[in-house]
Amino acid sequence: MHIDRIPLWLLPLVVLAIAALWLAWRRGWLRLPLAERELVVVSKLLFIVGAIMVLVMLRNSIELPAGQFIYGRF
Amino acid sequence: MAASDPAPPAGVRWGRVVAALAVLALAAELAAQALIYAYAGKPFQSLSTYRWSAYGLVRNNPSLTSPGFEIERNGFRSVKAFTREKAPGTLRVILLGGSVLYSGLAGARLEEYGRVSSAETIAPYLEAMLAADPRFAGRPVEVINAAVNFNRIVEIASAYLEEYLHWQPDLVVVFGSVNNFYWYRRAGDLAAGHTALQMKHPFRLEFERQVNEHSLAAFLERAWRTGAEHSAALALASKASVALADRLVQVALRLAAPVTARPSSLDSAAAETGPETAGESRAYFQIYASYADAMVAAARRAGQDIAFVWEPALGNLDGLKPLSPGERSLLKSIESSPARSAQYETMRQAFHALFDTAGVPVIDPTEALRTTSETVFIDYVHYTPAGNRFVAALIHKELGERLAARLGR
Repeated sequence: MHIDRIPLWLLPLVVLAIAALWLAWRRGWLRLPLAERELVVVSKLLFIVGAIMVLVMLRNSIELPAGQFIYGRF
Repeated sequence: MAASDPAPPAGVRWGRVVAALAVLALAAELAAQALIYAYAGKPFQSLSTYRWSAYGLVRNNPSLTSPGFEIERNGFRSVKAFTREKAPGTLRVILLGGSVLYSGLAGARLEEYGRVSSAETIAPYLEAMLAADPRFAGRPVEVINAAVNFNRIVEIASAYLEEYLHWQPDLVVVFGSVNNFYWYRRAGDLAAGHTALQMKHPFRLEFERQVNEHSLAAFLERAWRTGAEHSAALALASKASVALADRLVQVALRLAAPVTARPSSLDSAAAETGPETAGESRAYFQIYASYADAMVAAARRAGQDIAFVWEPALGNLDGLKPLSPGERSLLKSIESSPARSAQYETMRQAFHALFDTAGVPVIDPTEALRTTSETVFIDYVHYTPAGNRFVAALIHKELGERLAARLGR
């Protein structure tokens, strides 16, 4: 028996997990092998990659808004 | 070094930054692989629904990792694999069409049926009926579902002429009338090129952007999509960013609606025009007929039988079918009007006239639907598993004799 659809609760769960990790790190419960400045660099790189992807897809969605008859985008 | 360490290093240790990114990527990949396995019951291969095709625009992606949509290696929606080579004595039927045949689902649908599995489309039901028919006893029977969602006659005809003709089917059954005739046409639409058969297919626009465009954005998209074919994390991120972008644009369009919906003189003129004229209807149907004629001519030259199926739409049945409670509830969410139904009916009559004149069999479930109060429709036009079996039985009944006579020759 498989779940058939990606569950909607997954996104809040991921957000919660990230928030918990951040809190644990701030409180000193989680020791990372990175200095704060290095952590900022990692976060910035991840943000830039994610932002590029969303911007590219945003451009596609503006050009061709998803309607009932677009049976799955590429 | 932790954030709480008293003496952090002066510079950025790039080795650690790269290592952290690598560990994060690995963790994300492992989590995505596990999630997709839980979702589909098989390891990740691809989340792309389609692959580009030189003819007929797209084919279903055989690598699609999905629990409901099983695609065999040739791109057919089927739990059984087929080979192009045809064993001697095999009765082979190829079904061509759009989402009715594929059994895709539209937005508003009867949730209790879930997805229609690849084992419950029209093709496997028809195959079982033909295999059990004593007239075909002892013959291997193959019924191939070569449908692709949103195929119009434009895509079906080119796919048949380039590819499926060479699969040597004994019979070709062409579905897909909904994608050619369902959308309401107003006076002037044909001259303006704003009809279903004249406009560029939405996948064509995606093709132009992803293949022919050479901008930085197109390059980045290609790079990302290539990565998504090899990484479950990238594939999921890609799907999530597409969904996010679509949602944002929908919100933006809703917010902008009061401004964009303000009637200009041109819009109000269009709103005042009624349905297309009888002359426009005839001219529009000629576009469809030109593709259908080409398919019929090619089938005859190749010695293959060909038949066409009319696809009734729930909103246009005008009380003809005794509706089940589920279908009655669906009808409330379907846009329908007497003018729309009349236009669809005009096309149905032209469809019959074209093929009757050409001596090509037509299977039209419209009349047979009077006899069943079963839930045939799962949404405005697609079928439940019972509906697929109903249509398969109709095809078997209407074409069985012709097939038997062909094999007896």
